[in-house]
Amino acid sequence: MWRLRVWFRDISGTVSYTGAWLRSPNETAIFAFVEALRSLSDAQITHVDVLRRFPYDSQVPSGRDRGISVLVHRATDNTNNTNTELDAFPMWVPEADSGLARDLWGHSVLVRDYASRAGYNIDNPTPGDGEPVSLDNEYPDDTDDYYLIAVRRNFWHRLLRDARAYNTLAMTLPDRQARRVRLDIRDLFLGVPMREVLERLDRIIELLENGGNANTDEIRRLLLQIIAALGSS
Amino acid sequence: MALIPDPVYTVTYTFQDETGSKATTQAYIRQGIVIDDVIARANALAAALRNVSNAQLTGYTISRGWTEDAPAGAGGGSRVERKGRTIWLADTYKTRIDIPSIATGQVLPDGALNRNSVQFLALRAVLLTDFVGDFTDSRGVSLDALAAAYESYTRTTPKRQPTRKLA
Repeated sequence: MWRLRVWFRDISGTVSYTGAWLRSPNETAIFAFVEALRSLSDAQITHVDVLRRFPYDSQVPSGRDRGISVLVHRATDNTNNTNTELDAFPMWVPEADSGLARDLWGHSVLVRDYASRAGYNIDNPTPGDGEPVSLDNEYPDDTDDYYLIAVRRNFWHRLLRDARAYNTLAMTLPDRQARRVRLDIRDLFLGVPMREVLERLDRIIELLENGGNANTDEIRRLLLQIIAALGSS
Repeated sequence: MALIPDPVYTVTYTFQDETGSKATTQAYIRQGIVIDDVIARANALAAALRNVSNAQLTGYTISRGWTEDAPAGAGGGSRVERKGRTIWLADTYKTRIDIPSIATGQVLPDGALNRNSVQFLALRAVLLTDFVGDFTDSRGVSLDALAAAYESYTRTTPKRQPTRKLA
């Protein structure tokens, strides 16, 4: 059954909803129900949603610590077919490494009527045209149909451990540059897209090289180790 | 003042690994195709995800939303804790539909709702006669009669309280 929810807000700002069960998400019936409620309530209706859960028989949990893959598709203009890139669609796949997630890209069902959250098409990727790019391959660029990021839990933990070490190194820098390094490291802790992580690490190298007071050879060697590790993940 | 549809159906897939940890991922399917096709696409992607992920895919939820583009504003003195509680029968089983902040004009002095008002008759028609078979109880049995309609109060959960709590 479909669960219909109609959301209300009263004069105090308090939110509530009422629900009904539907055999199918018949838009005409939904709108008639909403209009009937509108005339019976003196709160304002803010939005309406309808949802249905499709459970699978097997609920036996499996798999652990393989990591998470993120597929990022570009989404294009679907009104005049100009192939203009207007949006991106990131999809997280738990317990999947990059090799397996790459198979999803070649799956024919992925290109039919799937859209970005804003409703733009993601139906353009063609196998063989714009080879999927992952961090063990090369950096994604604007010409790729989509790119793939594999975040492995173990590696992410290692990155955070190393970031703590660089935080110590940042204390050897002049205040202004050290602050910038610390901000970058804070972003590492918060979790930013891996491409930005790489760009920020590049900037850290640049900052450290211009710092003058730090042992830049050593710092550069450590940071390049991170980049090498990223490339092999 | 109109309900504007979201541009997509949202499909939320849920996974569980062997440690018991749960995770979700979402995909979007454009509007404008019939619901059976939406389910077919969601099912096909579920099969693909099942092959890709090492975790157990426990199910998925399809949802669709509409947002009021220009809300008229809540009436003075409206409180969503004051419900118009309506109980409907579906083959002798009961199902409840509450109306938040029921308009005071719909409540009779004895606390019952005015079942003969134009507004209430409109709701009754929608649920029982205008869309026969569409509105059901949670088992999927069609609503067939009204059992009760009265004013009631419920408490508000902390999450839904207004942000401004001080005078």
